[in-house]
Amino acid sequence: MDDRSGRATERREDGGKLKAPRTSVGWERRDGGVSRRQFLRDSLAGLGTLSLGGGFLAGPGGASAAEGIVAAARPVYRGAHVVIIRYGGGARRRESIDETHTWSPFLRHELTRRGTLFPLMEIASNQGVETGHGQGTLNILTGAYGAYRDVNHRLLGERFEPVAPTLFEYLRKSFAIPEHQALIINGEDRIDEEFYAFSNHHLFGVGYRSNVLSLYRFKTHLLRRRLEQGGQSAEERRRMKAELGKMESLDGRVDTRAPQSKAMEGFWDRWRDYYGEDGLRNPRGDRLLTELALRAMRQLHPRLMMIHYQDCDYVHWGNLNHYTRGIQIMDQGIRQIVEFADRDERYRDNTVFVIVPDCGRDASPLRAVPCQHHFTRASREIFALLLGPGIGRGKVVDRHAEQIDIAPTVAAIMGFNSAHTEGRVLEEAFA
Amino acid sequence: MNPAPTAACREHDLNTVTDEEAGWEATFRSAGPAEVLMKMGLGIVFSASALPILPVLVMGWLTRLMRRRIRVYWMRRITEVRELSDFEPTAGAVGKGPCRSAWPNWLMADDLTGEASLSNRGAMRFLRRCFGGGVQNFKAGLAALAGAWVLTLPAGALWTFSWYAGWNNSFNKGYEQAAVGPLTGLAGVALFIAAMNFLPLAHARQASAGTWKAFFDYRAVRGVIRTRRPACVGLAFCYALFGMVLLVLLVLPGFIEGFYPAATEMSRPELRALTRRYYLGVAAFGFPCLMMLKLLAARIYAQGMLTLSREEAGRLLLSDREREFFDRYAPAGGVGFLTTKRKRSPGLAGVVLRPIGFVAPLATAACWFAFAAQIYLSQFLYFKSFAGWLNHPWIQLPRFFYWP
Repeated sequence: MDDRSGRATERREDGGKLKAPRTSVGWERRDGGVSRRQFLRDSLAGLGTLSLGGGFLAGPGGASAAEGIVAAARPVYRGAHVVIIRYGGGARRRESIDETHTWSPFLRHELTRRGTLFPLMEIASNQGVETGHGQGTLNILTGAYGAYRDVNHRLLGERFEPVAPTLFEYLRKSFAIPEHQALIINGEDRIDEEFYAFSNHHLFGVGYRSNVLSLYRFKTHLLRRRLEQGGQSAEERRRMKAELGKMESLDGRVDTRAPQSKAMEGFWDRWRDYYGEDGLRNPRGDRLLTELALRAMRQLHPRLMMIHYQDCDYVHWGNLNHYTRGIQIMDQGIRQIVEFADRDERYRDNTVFVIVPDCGRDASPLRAVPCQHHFTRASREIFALLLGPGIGRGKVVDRHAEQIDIAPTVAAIMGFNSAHTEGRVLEEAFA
Repeated sequence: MNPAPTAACREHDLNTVTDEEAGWEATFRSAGPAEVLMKMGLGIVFSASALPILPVLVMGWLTRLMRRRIRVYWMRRITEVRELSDFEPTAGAVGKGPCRSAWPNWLMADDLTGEASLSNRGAMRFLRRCFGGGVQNFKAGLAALAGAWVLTLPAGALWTFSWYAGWNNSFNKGYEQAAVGPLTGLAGVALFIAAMNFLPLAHARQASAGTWKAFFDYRAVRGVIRTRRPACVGLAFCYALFGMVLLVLLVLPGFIEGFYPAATEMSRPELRALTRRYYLGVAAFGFPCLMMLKLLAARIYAQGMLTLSREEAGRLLLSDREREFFDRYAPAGGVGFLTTKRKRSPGLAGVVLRPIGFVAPLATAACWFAFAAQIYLSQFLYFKSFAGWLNHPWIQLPRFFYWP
């Protein structure tokens, strides 16, 4: 419904009074808290160092990798943490936010009371906009729809390279945030999504990319460590180097194999000490992602983190309980992460959660099991839930919204410019 | 005791056969256009039915049709050879017996005025007249289905286990046992290919022999396959080729929301009525194709048995009823005289086909593999639970209707 001014009306879960949305964004005034004098001083220092000929990373993004130099000119980020949870694998509104049929009770019954729900969010039905996991993730991250195609032309491949910058690039270009504090938490089944860390945009790119936590990265780290430690035969060493080379060069956009930061190396070393090296003793599936996210919050303190939940997509193969169990596992994971943030000094009252599916799922009346998430209206029907400081509590915005609105909204929350996004800021969410 | 054929029959393509199941002799004429339309129409309606008993009748009707076609084929060969030889006609001469259609009836007894009917009186005679054909179809259908499921159940069971347990293991990230699901599935595919190499001709054997056990006459069926390898490749190819069209038709309802959005607003009864109309259309393609495939198998069997029967060892493979048939209509030298006819040079077809015989087993397996892949694809695109693994309308129960 719209009021007479044409703005969407909102209703509160507790039946409270309606409140007109504010157009100003709370976080815009907290743009890093840097004074003009400090900013100019840092910029001059950076330019001076540049003139001495700092090194550059080559890459299609064209961004300078003299990170330390340029970063000195960027303000320190002092805003809220943002955790984007890709409620992924393709979940319908019915099993997620429908009060009667939900398989996600924590999300539906508790989190919606703490935040603002957009139950009518959709993925546009423009030509070329597909309802897939990779596509949905990039819609969320870039704030722009794209007709993505696998760069290697594989059937069903999702190795996409976004043209529009991702949220991580915007953030790291605007603020001095190290790579290990801009994280994607990725599952072991979807290697292609490891490479959504940066775009091909000429003003952004590899220099502002996020880091990725996944078993794939752990295995890469392990190989490096073993080679460093030595003790293998020549043949085995040759084989390990070949395997490491293959793993490190999967992204053809990056020419050199930059070493991981100390923070990341320490993270993986602690992971190995705790879970061993075989990848079989740690939690698996989406529970692995939850564990990685919690450990990252404890050890790496990411400012912006995106978690790629996925398990409910296994319903593609016909077992209905994979869908419902997958949603339950996501719900439990969200609960753990939110409760951790509520307890942790660093994250308490200082974290905004954005929960949004990558795509919907079929709701054909002639299917006993909703296996697919293509070609139909229901696969474009998703939702978004925002909660945290500055976000309205217990609100439901019954107004059409688009998946690409997430990125500019997060940009507004975190206080950086997202000039290349195409969506709108979900101002109705702000308190 | 058999009445003389009518004048109308004499004007048609006459094929005298003995219908062993009814115990009488008749002359079969080709079915006219109206009859073809009616009987095929009933086949389409029955195979699109939601009631499982009607597709059983379809299976039985197809079995009886196959038997008649095999007999007709042999009788035509007898007629050809007689015309080329000095063979004197005997009691099994063409033109004797009441005139009936070569297409069996669906429900009514085919034998309306023949000898068998005289043994029944009153109500039983009336019931037999009205439903005799249906009873025969039902019995033949059950026998055919039993054979098909016994043969394909191992493969179907492995597929069911592989799919369910394999994906369950994958969901739980059971890497240690990751190979179990795929390997079991592949084993099921191998069993399926082995079964399908045998099944179509085994059904023809069962139809011709008239007993359910004949389905498992492995030596006879294997002998026919060996003599007709290129034809078996063609049969498998037809299954795979037309199967692709059937695959699309069978999975489309799963995507109904995409091309018919109003379906999401329909009530359950409305949706069911819409679904029934749709599957009637599917059966309009599926049933004629199935009939063609069965008749093709029947022809291959008929040709193969004739070829086998050139040798004494091959004649031993004839079933009892088949032997009776040949003893009745080709007594001089038995079946052998039918096959010791003029040799024809192979011509271009022979030059092309002969090398194919060497790679025929591989080609047949490839075609059945493609058919198995269609079943997998069908399950992925429109999952039908265990039924999707255990039944295909062209292999087991010929039922095109599906309701989730």
